[in-house]
Amino acid sequence: MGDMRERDNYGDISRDEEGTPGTSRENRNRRVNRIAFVLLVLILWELVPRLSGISPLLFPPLSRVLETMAEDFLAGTLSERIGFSLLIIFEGVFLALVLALLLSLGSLVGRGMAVWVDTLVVLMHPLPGIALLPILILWAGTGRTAVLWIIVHSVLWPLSTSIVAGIRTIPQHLYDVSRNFNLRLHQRLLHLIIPGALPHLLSGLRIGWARAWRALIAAEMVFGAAGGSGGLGWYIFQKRVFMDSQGLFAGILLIMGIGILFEELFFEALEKISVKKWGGAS
Amino acid sequence: MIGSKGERLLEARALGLWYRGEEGRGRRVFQGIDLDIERGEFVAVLGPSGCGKTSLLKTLGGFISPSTGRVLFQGRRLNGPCPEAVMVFQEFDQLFPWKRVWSNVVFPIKVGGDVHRREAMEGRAENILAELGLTDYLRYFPHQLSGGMKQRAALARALVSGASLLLMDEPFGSLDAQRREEMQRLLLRMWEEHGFSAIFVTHDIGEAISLADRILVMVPDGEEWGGGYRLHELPVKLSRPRSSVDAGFLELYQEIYSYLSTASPESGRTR
Repeated sequence: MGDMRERDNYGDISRDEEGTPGTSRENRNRRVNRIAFVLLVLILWELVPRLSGISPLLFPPLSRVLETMAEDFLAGTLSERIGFSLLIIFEGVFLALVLALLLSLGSLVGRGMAVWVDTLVVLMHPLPGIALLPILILWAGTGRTAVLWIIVHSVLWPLSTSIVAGIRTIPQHLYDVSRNFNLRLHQRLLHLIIPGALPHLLSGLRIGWARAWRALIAAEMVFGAAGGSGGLGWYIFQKRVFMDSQGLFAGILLIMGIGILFEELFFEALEKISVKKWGGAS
Repeated sequence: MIGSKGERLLEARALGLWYRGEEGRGRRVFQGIDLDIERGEFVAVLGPSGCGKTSLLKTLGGFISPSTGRVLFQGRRLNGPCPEAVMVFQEFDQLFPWKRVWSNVVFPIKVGGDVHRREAMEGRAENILAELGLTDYLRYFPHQLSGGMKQRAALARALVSGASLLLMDEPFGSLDAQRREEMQRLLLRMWEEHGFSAIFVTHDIGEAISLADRILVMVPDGEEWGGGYRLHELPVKLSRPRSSVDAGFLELYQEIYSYLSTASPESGRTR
């Protein structure tokens, strides 16, 4: 919203004004509407199981789910699970980011390299990480390492595609300008390539984040975790073993909640201080 | 040969450019161009769209290597772009969208070596920005500026770099008529003050006459169009400031107009 007001101040000189009057009100209406919908679903979740007489084992009311969630938080197991999940995802995404940057910079070296990188990405991209699991277990054992590499795999390829696409969208004139002022390699990266590819990199990270999340939960559900520690997927897996359906729903709610939290807060904020400030539309 | 006395800044000899086409048949863009640009001179290159004005300008700036001939800049053979000859483009996307106006304009200082002179050069940058009326916009991002303001910032960047030659590719071509005239006056003022040389590409005859000391018209070479272009020189012997309703101005306009229309590709054969 603050962004909108700022733009309006420049209205007299701004050429292409995207914001039309009423847009911010429309946004607010959308947000209110969205929250209303979520509240409605939550209320129905509470009421339907209670009034319909469905067995709470199949569909427990919301309050019971929240109760279990609170208990597990207090016992410390849930925060441990969440911490485990987030840590391994951060590690995986970071590793994938480094590798993706290396790959896309490699594709800048020459036309031959670009074809190689492109081919590699095209081959690997459609392969679901979970399909690699048996092989990774053979190579790395049923531990954290195997899960980590599945996350890296599921983030690396879409992220590389995004970064390469981002580099391609940098206007030719900016390359000309950087040639004109004799930019050295590190200056070219710092002033041109990295900021130029950033909008695409960020949207690639968004996709990567969602994929990492899915890959992690899937991997943990399939073979659990090693050494008695695991993340949210492992939490759900355990709850299934004990037929604790309240715990199952608690796990699902948390996975959704954390996903939204990152999507709305982390990535939004990241874009607000960079891409959106530069006038990008993403 | 086109050119004259005085201190020579840029020298092109037997310059030719063609692109390799299908089946070994290339497309010739221009050929046999000999050209001298003096220090402090303002030269306009005039021609119909698609005749290769931009290619010529980029070749003179070292952005494209010529198929034949050579370009000497300050006596040395040009092997690539250099910060002494800076291009200003028509398009508005030549500023870094992620840098504010100030960072865009002092960019050549930031990336070009000499740390000790940086402070003095930043002072100079402030003056140039003031002269171009950009002082109030230093904290703006390019997308917050109008087209005219963006072109001012691009011009400011070129001036701040301390380049002795500005290669301008229809820099005001995307502006409305009023802005364009305003920018022309501004450019001439900066030229008189800072003493750079300029090669100004345009397809607007009036713009060429109001700005330049000499006009180089790109005319089709040889019997058939497609044989590439060469340059025909017309001096502008009008005192500045020039008015477009002045008799001399109109006469020259007529002369160039008829010259261009007989030499245009639509007329089939030339002369």
